[in-house]
Amino acid sequence: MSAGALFIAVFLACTVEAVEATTIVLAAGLARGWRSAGYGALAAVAVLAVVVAALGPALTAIPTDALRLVIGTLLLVFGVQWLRKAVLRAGGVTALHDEDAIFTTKLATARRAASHQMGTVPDWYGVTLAFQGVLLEGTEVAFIVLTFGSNQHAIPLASAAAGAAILLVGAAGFAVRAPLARVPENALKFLVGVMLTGFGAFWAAEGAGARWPGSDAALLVLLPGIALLGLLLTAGLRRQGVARDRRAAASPPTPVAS
Amino acid sequence: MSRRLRAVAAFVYDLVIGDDWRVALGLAVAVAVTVAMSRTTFPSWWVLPTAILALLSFSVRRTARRRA
Repeated sequence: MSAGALFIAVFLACTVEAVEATTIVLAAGLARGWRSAGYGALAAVAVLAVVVAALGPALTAIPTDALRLVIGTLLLVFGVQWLRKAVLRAGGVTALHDEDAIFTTKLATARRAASHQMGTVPDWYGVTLAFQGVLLEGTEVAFIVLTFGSNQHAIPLASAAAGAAILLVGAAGFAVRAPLARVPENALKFLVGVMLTGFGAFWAAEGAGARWPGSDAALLVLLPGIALLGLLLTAGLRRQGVARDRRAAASPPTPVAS
Repeated sequence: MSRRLRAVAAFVYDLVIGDDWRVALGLAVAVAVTVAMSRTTFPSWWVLPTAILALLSFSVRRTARRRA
Protein backbone atom coordinates (compact mmCIF):
# COMPACT_ATOMS: atom_id res chain seq x y z
CA MET A 1 0.00 0.00 0.00
CA SER A 2 1.49 3.33 -1.05
CA ALA A 3 1.71 6.33 1.28
CA GLY A 4 -0.83 8.17 -0.91
CA ALA A 5 -3.37 5.33 -0.70
CA LEU A 6 -2.91 5.13 3.08
CA PHE A 7 -3.45 8.90 3.41
CA ILE A 8 -6.61 8.87 1.24
CA ALA A 9 -8.12 5.84 3.05
CA VAL A 10 -7.58 7.31 6.53
CA PHE A 11 -8.60 10.82 5.42
CA LEU A 12 -11.94 9.67 3.97
CA ALA A 13 -12.74 7.43 6.95
CA CYS A 14 -11.95 10.25 9.39
CA THR A 15 -14.00 12.76 7.36
CA VAL A 16 -17.16 10.71 7.97
CA GLU A 17 -16.54 10.58 11.72
CA ALA A 18 -15.50 14.25 11.88
CA VAL A 19 -18.80 15.33 10.25
CA GLU A 20 -20.73 13.46 12.96
CA ALA A 21 -18.58 14.89 15.78
CA THR A 22 -18.84 18.43 14.35
CA THR A 23 -22.65 18.25 14.45
CA ILE A 24 -22.53 17.56 18.21
CA VAL A 25 -19.88 20.23 18.92
CA LEU A 26 -21.92 22.80 16.92
CA ALA A 27 -25.05 21.97 18.93
CA ALA A 28 -23.05 22.30 22.17
CA GLY A 29 -21.47 25.59 21.01
CA LEU A 30 -24.70 27.23 19.84
CA ALA A 31 -26.73 26.13 22.86
CA ARG A 32 -24.19 26.34 25.69
CA GLY A 33 -21.44 28.70 24.46
CA TRP A 34 -18.38 28.21 22.27
CA ARG A 35 -15.87 28.24 25.14
CA SER A 36 -17.45 25.23 26.86
CA ALA A 37 -17.83 23.34 23.57
CA GLY A 38 -14.21 24.15 22.69
CA TYR A 39 -12.91 22.88 26.06
CA GLY A 40 -14.85 19.64 25.67
CA ALA A 41 -13.76 19.02 22.07
CA LEU A 42 -10.09 19.81 22.78
CA ALA A 43 -10.05 17.59 25.87
CA ALA A 44 -11.45 14.66 23.84
CA VAL A 45 -8.91 15.20 21.03
CA ALA A 46 -6.13 15.24 23.67
CA VAL A 47 -7.36 11.93 25.16
CA LEU A 48 -7.46 10.33 21.70
CA ALA A 49 -3.99 11.67 20.84
CA VAL A 50 -2.61 10.12 24.05
CA VAL A 51 -4.27 6.77 23.19
CA VAL A 52 -2.73 6.77 19.68
CA ALA A 53 0.68 7.90 21.01
CA ALA A 54 0.64 5.17 23.69
CA LEU A 55 -0.67 2.27 21.60
CA GLY A 56 1.04 3.13 18.30
CA PRO A 57 4.65 2.26 19.21
CA ALA A 58 3.47 -0.82 21.14
CA LEU A 59 1.60 -2.13 18.10
CA THR A 60 4.48 -1.56 15.69
CA ALA A 61 6.73 -3.66 17.97
CA ILE A 62 4.57 -6.76 17.31
CA PRO A 63 5.90 -9.13 14.58
CA THR A 64 4.43 -8.18 11.17
CA ASP A 65 2.54 -11.43 10.44
CA ALA A 66 0.87 -11.57 13.88
CA LEU A 67 0.01 -7.87 13.64
CA ARG A 68 -1.47 -8.27 10.17
CA LEU A 69 -3.55 -11.27 11.25
CA VAL A 70 -5.05 -9.55 14.32
CA ILE A 71 -5.37 -6.01 12.93
CA GLY A 72 -6.49 -7.26 9.52
CA THR A 73 -9.24 -9.38 11.09
CA LEU A 74 -10.46 -6.44 13.23
CA LEU A 75 -10.40 -4.14 10.22
CA LEU A 76 -12.25 -6.72 8.12
CA VAL A 77 -15.06 -7.15 10.69
CA PHE A 78 -15.25 -3.38 11.19
CA GLY A 79 -15.25 -2.70 7.44
CA VAL A 80 -17.95 -5.25 6.58
CA GLN A 81 -20.20 -3.70 9.26
CA TRP A 82 -19.65 -0.22 7.72
CA LEU A 83 -20.37 -1.54 4.24
CA ARG A 84 -23.46 -3.41 5.44
CA LYS A 85 -24.84 -0.23 7.04
CA ALA A 86 -24.11 1.84 3.91
CA VAL A 87 -25.78 -0.76 1.63
CA LEU A 88 -28.88 -0.95 3.86
CA ARG A 89 -29.15 2.85 3.89
CA ALA A 90 -28.57 3.27 0.14
CA GLY A 91 -31.04 0.43 -0.55
CA GLY A 92 -33.76 2.20 1.44
CA VAL A 93 -34.02 -0.46 4.16
CA THR A 94 -32.83 1.83 6.96
CA ALA A 95 -33.02 5.62 7.19
CA LEU A 96 -30.13 7.72 5.89
CA HIS A 97 -27.99 9.45 8.51
CA ASP A 98 -29.66 12.88 8.83
CA GLU A 99 -27.24 15.45 10.27
CA ASP A 100 -29.95 18.17 10.28
CA ALA A 101 -32.31 16.04 12.38
CA ILE A 102 -29.54 15.00 14.79
CA PHE A 103 -28.45 18.63 15.12
CA THR A 104 -32.01 19.83 15.87
CA THR A 105 -32.52 17.14 18.55
CA LYS A 106 -29.15 17.78 20.22
CA LEU A 107 -29.70 21.55 20.15
CA ALA A 108 -33.16 21.29 21.74
CA THR A 109 -31.88 18.94 24.49
CA ALA A 110 -28.84 21.14 25.17
CA ARG A 111 -31.00 24.27 25.47
CA ARG A 112 -33.28 22.62 28.05
CA ALA A 113 -30.47 21.40 30.36
CA ALA A 114 -29.62 23.37 33.51
CA SER A 115 -26.36 25.41 33.63
CA HIS A 116 -23.58 24.51 36.06
CA GLN A 117 -20.45 26.71 36.28
CA MET A 118 -17.25 25.48 37.93
CA GLY A 119 -13.94 27.38 38.08
CA THR A 120 -12.90 28.66 34.66
CA VAL A 121 -15.38 26.33 32.95
CA PRO A 122 -18.49 28.39 32.17
CA ASP A 123 -20.84 25.46 31.60
CA TRP A 124 -20.17 21.81 32.42
CA TYR A 125 -23.08 20.52 30.34
CA GLY A 126 -21.59 22.08 27.19
CA VAL A 127 -18.15 20.66 28.00
CA THR A 128 -19.53 17.17 28.65
CA LEU A 129 -21.71 17.16 25.52
CA ALA A 130 -18.82 18.18 23.24
CA PHE A 131 -16.36 15.85 25.04
CA GLN A 132 -18.62 12.80 24.73
CA GLY A 133 -19.48 13.50 21.10
CA VAL A 134 -15.87 13.92 20.00
CA LEU A 135 -14.62 11.01 22.12
CA LEU A 136 -17.25 8.56 20.85
CA GLU A 137 -16.87 9.47 17.17
CA GLY A 138 -13.11 9.90 17.62
CA THR A 139 -12.63 6.37 18.97
CA GLU A 140 -13.36 5.08 15.47
CA VAL A 141 -10.84 7.59 14.09
CA ALA A 142 -8.20 6.35 16.57
CA PHE A 143 -9.03 2.74 15.64
CA ILE A 144 -8.59 3.43 11.92
CA VAL A 145 -5.34 5.41 12.49
CA LEU A 146 -3.91 2.61 14.65
CA THR A 147 -4.93 -0.26 12.36
CA PHE A 148 -3.88 1.31 9.05
CA GLY A 149 -0.85 3.06 10.53
CA SER A 150 0.58 0.11 12.45
CA ASN A 151 0.15 -2.29 9.52
CA GLN A 152 2.15 0.00 7.26
CA HIS A 153 4.50 1.21 10.03
CA ALA A 154 3.28 4.73 9.22
CA ILE A 155 1.34 5.91 12.27
CA PRO A 156 2.59 9.54 11.89
CA LEU A 157 1.26 9.65 8.29
CA ALA A 158 -2.07 8.08 9.33
CA SER A 159 -2.30 10.60 12.22
CA ALA A 160 -1.58 13.46 9.79
CA ALA A 161 -4.39 12.25 7.48
CA ALA A 162 -6.81 12.07 10.43
CA GLY A 163 -5.69 15.51 11.65
CA ALA A 164 -6.19 17.01 8.18
CA ALA A 165 -9.73 15.57 7.97
CA ILE A 166 -10.63 16.83 11.47
CA LEU A 167 -9.23 20.32 10.79
CA LEU A 168 -10.94 20.62 7.38
CA VAL A 169 -14.35 19.42 8.58
CA GLY A 170 -14.10 21.35 11.88
CA ALA A 171 -13.19 24.58 10.08
CA ALA A 172 -16.02 24.13 7.55
CA GLY A 173 -18.54 23.44 10.32
CA PHE A 174 -17.36 26.44 12.35
CA ALA A 175 -17.48 28.69 9.26
CA VAL A 176 -21.08 27.84 8.34
CA ARG A 177 -22.25 27.33 11.96
CA ALA A 178 -24.60 24.59 10.74
CA PRO A 179 -24.41 20.80 10.34
CA LEU A 180 -22.57 19.71 7.22
CA ALA A 181 -25.63 18.02 5.78
CA ARG A 182 -24.39 18.41 2.18
CA VAL A 183 -21.43 16.09 2.74
CA PRO A 184 -22.43 12.84 0.96
CA GLU A 185 -21.96 10.91 4.18
CA ASN A 186 -23.48 7.62 3.02
CA ALA A 187 -21.48 7.56 -0.22
CA LEU A 188 -18.31 8.21 1.81
CA LYS A 189 -19.31 5.49 4.29
CA PHE A 190 -19.77 3.06 1.37
CA LEU A 191 -16.37 3.95 -0.08
CA VAL A 192 -14.64 3.67 3.29
CA GLY A 193 -16.45 0.38 4.02
CA VAL A 194 -15.07 -1.00 0.73
CA MET A 195 -11.53 0.12 1.61
CA LEU A 196 -11.62 -1.16 5.20
CA THR A 197 -13.04 -4.50 4.05
CA GLY A 198 -10.56 -4.85 1.18
CA PHE A 199 -7.43 -3.93 3.12
CA GLY A 200 -8.65 -5.90 6.16
CA ALA A 201 -9.13 -9.06 4.06
CA PHE A 202 -5.79 -8.56 2.30
CA TRP A 203 -3.80 -8.11 5.53
CA ALA A 204 -5.68 -10.80 7.49
CA ALA A 205 -5.03 -13.36 4.74
CA GLU A 206 -1.35 -12.36 4.51
CA GLY A 207 -1.01 -12.58 8.28
CA ALA A 208 -2.66 -16.01 8.18
CA GLY A 209 0.03 -17.19 5.77
CA ALA A 210 -1.92 -16.98 2.48
CA ARG A 211 -0.18 -15.71 -0.64
CA TRP A 212 -2.28 -13.49 -2.91
CA PRO A 213 -1.97 -14.06 -6.65
CA GLY A 214 -0.03 -11.07 -8.01
CA SER A 215 0.92 -9.97 -4.48
CA ASP A 216 -0.11 -6.31 -3.87
CA ALA A 217 -1.72 -6.14 -7.33
CA ALA A 218 -4.49 -8.40 -5.96
CA LEU A 219 -5.88 -5.27 -4.25
CA LEU A 220 -6.67 -3.87 -7.72
CA VAL A 221 -9.16 -6.73 -8.16
CA LEU A 222 -10.24 -7.14 -4.53
CA LEU A 223 -11.32 -3.52 -3.92
CA PRO A 224 -13.39 -3.08 -7.13
CA GLY A 225 -14.86 -6.57 -6.54
CA ILE A 226 -16.09 -5.60 -3.07
CA ALA A 227 -17.45 -2.28 -4.41
CA LEU A 228 -19.31 -4.17 -7.15
CA LEU A 229 -20.80 -6.57 -4.58
CA GLY A 230 -22.00 -3.59 -2.51
CA LEU A 231 -23.53 -1.90 -5.57
CA LEU A 232 -25.27 -5.10 -6.69
CA LEU A 233 -26.72 -5.66 -3.21
CA THR A 234 -27.91 -2.02 -3.12
CA ALA A 235 -29.54 -2.35 -6.55
CA GLY A 236 -31.24 -5.59 -5.43
CA LEU A 237 -32.65 -3.91 -2.31
CA ARG A 238 -33.93 -0.95 -4.36
CA ARG A 239 -35.63 -3.30 -6.86
CA GLN A 240 -37.32 -5.16 -3.99
CA GLY A 241 -38.49 -1.85 -2.51
CA VAL A 242 -39.96 -0.67 -5.84
CA ALA A 243 -41.70 -4.05 -6.37
CA ARG A 244 -43.15 -3.90 -2.85
CA ASP A 245 -44.43 -0.35 -3.38
CA ARG A 246 -46.06 -1.38 -6.68
CA ARG A 247 -47.74 -4.37 -5.01
CA ALA A 248 -49.00 -2.15 -2.18
CA ALA A 249 -50.37 0.41 -4.68
CA ALA A 250 -52.09 -2.28 -6.79
CA SER A 251 -53.72 -4.21 -3.92
CA PRO A 252 -57.27 -3.12 -2.95
CA PRO A 253 -57.66 -1.39 0.43
CA THR A 254 -58.36 -3.76 3.32
CA PRO A 255 -62.00 -3.49 4.46
CA VAL A 256 -62.36 -2.17 7.99
CA ALA A 257 -64.22 -4.58 10.30
CA SER A 258 -67.27 -2.98 11.89
CA MET B 1 -17.99 0.39 38.74
CA SER B 2 -19.53 -2.72 37.17
CA ARG B 3 -22.06 -0.48 35.40
CA ARG B 4 -19.20 1.50 33.84
CA LEU B 5 -17.40 -1.70 32.82
CA ARG B 6 -20.60 -2.97 31.23
CA ALA B 7 -20.97 0.35 29.38
CA VAL B 8 -17.37 0.12 28.09
CA ALA B 9 -17.90 -3.52 27.05
CA ALA B 10 -21.12 -2.56 25.24
CA PHE B 11 -19.31 0.28 23.46
CA VAL B 12 -16.43 -1.98 22.33
CA TYR B 13 -18.95 -4.65 21.21
CA ASP B 14 -20.87 -2.05 19.20
CA LEU B 15 -17.64 -0.63 17.72
CA VAL B 16 -16.17 -3.92 16.54
CA ILE B 17 -19.02 -6.44 16.25
CA GLY B 18 -21.79 -3.99 15.30
CA ASP B 19 -25.39 -4.86 14.50
CA ASP B 20 -24.93 -8.42 13.25
CA TRP B 21 -22.77 -10.74 15.34
CA ARG B 22 -23.21 -13.52 12.79
CA VAL B 23 -21.08 -11.57 10.30
CA ALA B 24 -18.28 -11.08 12.87
CA LEU B 25 -18.40 -14.76 13.87
CA GLY B 26 -18.44 -15.91 10.24
CA LEU B 27 -15.44 -13.75 9.36
CA ALA B 28 -13.51 -14.98 12.43
CA VAL B 29 -14.20 -18.59 11.32
CA ALA B 30 -13.08 -17.71 7.76
CA VAL B 31 -9.80 -16.28 9.09
CA ALA B 32 -9.26 -19.47 11.15
CA VAL B 33 -9.91 -21.59 8.03
CA THR B 34 -7.39 -19.43 6.11
CA VAL B 35 -4.78 -20.02 8.84
CA ALA B 36 -5.42 -23.79 8.74
CA MET B 37 -5.37 -24.00 4.93
CA SER B 38 -2.19 -21.93 4.69
CA ARG B 39 -0.35 -24.73 6.49
CA THR B 40 -1.25 -27.12 3.67
CA THR B 41 -0.27 -27.04 0.00
CA PHE B 42 -3.75 -25.77 -1.05
CA PRO B 43 -4.14 -22.07 -1.92
CA SER B 44 -6.05 -20.23 0.79
CA TRP B 45 -6.32 -16.62 -0.45
CA TRP B 46 -9.86 -17.18 -1.82
CA VAL B 47 -11.42 -18.04 1.56
CA LEU B 48 -11.85 -14.45 2.83
CA PRO B 49 -13.26 -12.95 -0.42
CA THR B 50 -15.74 -15.84 -0.57
CA ALA B 51 -16.70 -15.29 3.08
CA ILE B 52 -17.25 -11.56 2.46
CA LEU B 53 -19.48 -12.34 -0.53
CA ALA B 54 -21.55 -14.91 1.37
CA LEU B 55 -21.81 -13.15 4.74
CA LEU B 56 -22.52 -9.65 3.44
CA SER B 57 -25.20 -10.95 1.03
CA PHE B 58 -26.76 -13.11 3.75
CA SER B 59 -26.79 -10.33 6.36
CA VAL B 60 -28.14 -7.62 4.04
CA ARG B 61 -30.93 -9.85 2.68
CA ARG B 62 -31.84 -11.12 6.14
CA THR B 63 -32.14 -7.57 7.51
CA ALA B 64 -34.18 -6.44 4.48
CA ARG B 65 -36.57 -9.42 4.88
CA ARG B 66 -37.06 -8.74 8.59
CA ARG B 67 -37.83 -5.07 8.01
CA ALA B 68 -40.17 -5.61 5.03
